[in-house]
Amino acid sequence: MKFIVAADDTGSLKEVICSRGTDTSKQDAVQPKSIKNYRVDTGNSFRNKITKLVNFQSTYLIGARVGGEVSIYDLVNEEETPEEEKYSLLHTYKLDVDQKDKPVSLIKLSPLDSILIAFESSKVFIIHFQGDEFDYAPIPVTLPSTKSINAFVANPNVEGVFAYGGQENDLQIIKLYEQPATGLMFNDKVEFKPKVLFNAKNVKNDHLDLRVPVWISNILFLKDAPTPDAYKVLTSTRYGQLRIYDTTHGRRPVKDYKICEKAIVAMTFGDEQQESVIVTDVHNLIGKYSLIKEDEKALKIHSASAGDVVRPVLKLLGKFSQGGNTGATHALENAEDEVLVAGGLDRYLRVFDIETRDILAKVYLGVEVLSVLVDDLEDEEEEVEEGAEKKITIQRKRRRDIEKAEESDEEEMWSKLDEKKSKR
Amino acid sequence: MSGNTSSALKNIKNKQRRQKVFGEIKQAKSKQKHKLRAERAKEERENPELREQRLVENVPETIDSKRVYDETIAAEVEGEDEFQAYFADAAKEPKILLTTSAGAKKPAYEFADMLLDFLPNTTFIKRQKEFSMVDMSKFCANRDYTTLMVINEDKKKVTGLSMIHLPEGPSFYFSVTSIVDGKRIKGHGRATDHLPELVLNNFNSRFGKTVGRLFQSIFPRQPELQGRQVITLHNQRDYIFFRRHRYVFRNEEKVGLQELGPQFTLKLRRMQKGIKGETVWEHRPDMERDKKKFYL
Repeated sequence: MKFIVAADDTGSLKEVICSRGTDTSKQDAVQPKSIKNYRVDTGNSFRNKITKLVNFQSTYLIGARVGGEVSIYDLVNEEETPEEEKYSLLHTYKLDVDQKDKPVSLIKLSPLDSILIAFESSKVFIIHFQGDEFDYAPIPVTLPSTKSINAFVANPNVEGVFAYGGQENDLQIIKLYEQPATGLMFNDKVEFKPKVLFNAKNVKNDHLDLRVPVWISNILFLKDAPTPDAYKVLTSTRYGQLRIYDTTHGRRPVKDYKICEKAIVAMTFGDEQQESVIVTDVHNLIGKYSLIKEDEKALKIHSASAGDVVRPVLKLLGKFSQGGNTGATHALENAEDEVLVAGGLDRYLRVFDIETRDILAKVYLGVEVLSVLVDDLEDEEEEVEEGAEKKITIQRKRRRDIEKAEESDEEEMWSKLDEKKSKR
Repeated sequence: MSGNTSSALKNIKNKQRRQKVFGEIKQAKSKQKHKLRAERAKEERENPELREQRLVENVPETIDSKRVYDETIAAEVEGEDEFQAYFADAAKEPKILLTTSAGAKKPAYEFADMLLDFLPNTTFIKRQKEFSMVDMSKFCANRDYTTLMVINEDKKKVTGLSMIHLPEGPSFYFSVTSIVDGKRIKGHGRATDHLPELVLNNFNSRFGKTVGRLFQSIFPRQPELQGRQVITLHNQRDYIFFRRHRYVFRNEEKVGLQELGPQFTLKLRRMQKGIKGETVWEHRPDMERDKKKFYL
């Protein structure tokens, strides 16, 4: 398996090649084939770290940095490419944002040959690529509101439709461009004028009649939209809620569940049918929740004024707790509904089987992980087998050595004892 | 030998006689041991090489030496962290604000007094209820403080110590136990105002190095060596022991130590990124299930 990781501490890239069964915490387990740093030079530090990574049509590796830089790296690596030239920097865009502004989203718009970058300050840019020239200037997009955003996603089912939200900035679904769009539109002067399709309304006041604060952290479009021009959206919040919106059913969420006390950091679907969702919180939770099954009486609130309130909560299908995660997980990637790749503040990259939740690989990286890109899921079979065999033979050898050593030890001990006895 | 003892005692039915015989056997054994030791000492005095050889060969196994393999100890530290800005600026000296939890009682102030004795460039301020830790961090960062320390007191006992590196974190919370005032230490000395030297022991893992950097950042970089005072933060099995001594070089081999106090023990409970942001590490009781696994 091959992963590319955006490192917090160094602001650079890290390439990890490992096979299933890797565990750097155990000396006798399989060790990763290679962990290499790339692009450590050129003024990259944790001040301008890459927070989002994207693989653009297998030709470019694009990283959005804190402070508005967008680095385009070469992803076409042949076997013969010398180490220093791998992931070479092709171009850097400097976007007009604040020094500490953090990119919250980096989306590839494949039909447009473009990428979209959204920043926390609600500044959004679209960059178009044509050839290897990089001579199209980034086009700023003005959102209907200037409140800060924490999530900005594209609808994978309908072109040109996006959703965003943030702190005290409730979910909005917008249309940026009409459907049959190609990269040719960039030949003329283009302007993206967002058209608001849906504007969510906050949930009703709680049992104490207090306003529920809004802070959206992640958004996912569900594929089973009721009608072609309606949308079903799943959001997570920094207050531990998961909410499902249906645009045909009013502006409030149709479902609202409080699944944890702490803020939700990352979220991804757990299977192809979109029947489960995997969330991480600011603590060490990586949990898989069903989107269909509910625990009817999971949330009980005892209130003197409102009486006992009992609410359903999405059923927890299990936690990805193997491998001893201690910190918040920022990078959460579901690769082909087969494995889950997780990396975060505790400087490990963990690969789980998404179905059984067993850990497949655990690799110490030495850097905090902000974003991870799955490049290759296949283990290099032959080498692995060879390696494994070698490993086994080595282990056997070792074991034999140990046994031998033990035997000799025992003999020594017995002989000593005999000596002692004879002395007496 | 123990088999011998038990067989010798087994047939004595009178308890007092049995105790007497046991005492005799025990005494004989200890005499034997001391004799052996004296002989060995004599031999080694004549031939110091033997002693060296014995010390090399006879290394006792400890829980520490049997520690679960931790790959982060050998790994090189990569990149920078939030302390980088502080350490990169050579002119920057620590500036600490010390306060207590809201509504603190006498023990908290006494502990604050202890800390003020050795923390340089520290201001103590009485805690005001209306300001949260995040607020205080903001105010302190505006006034160029490098660390905010908050003593936590519960039911008239000092239980914890929060340390927040400013301006942008990280935040640490330690539990505090076994506080001993310098005056209670037998043969203690009196501390002088000299800036102490700092000894950080066993902050080995990647995570431990971060904690070590925190302690590095609260003491001045240039100690006043003429004071001969040294502060030790010794990590053993994730407990951090704080001690302060004065040393004197008696001759080329021997160093005299005099404890100055105070003593206390810290244990890291939580580390958060930024100012009370996302959790990097938090102690859980089940982390102590494996007695040989350590995190610092």
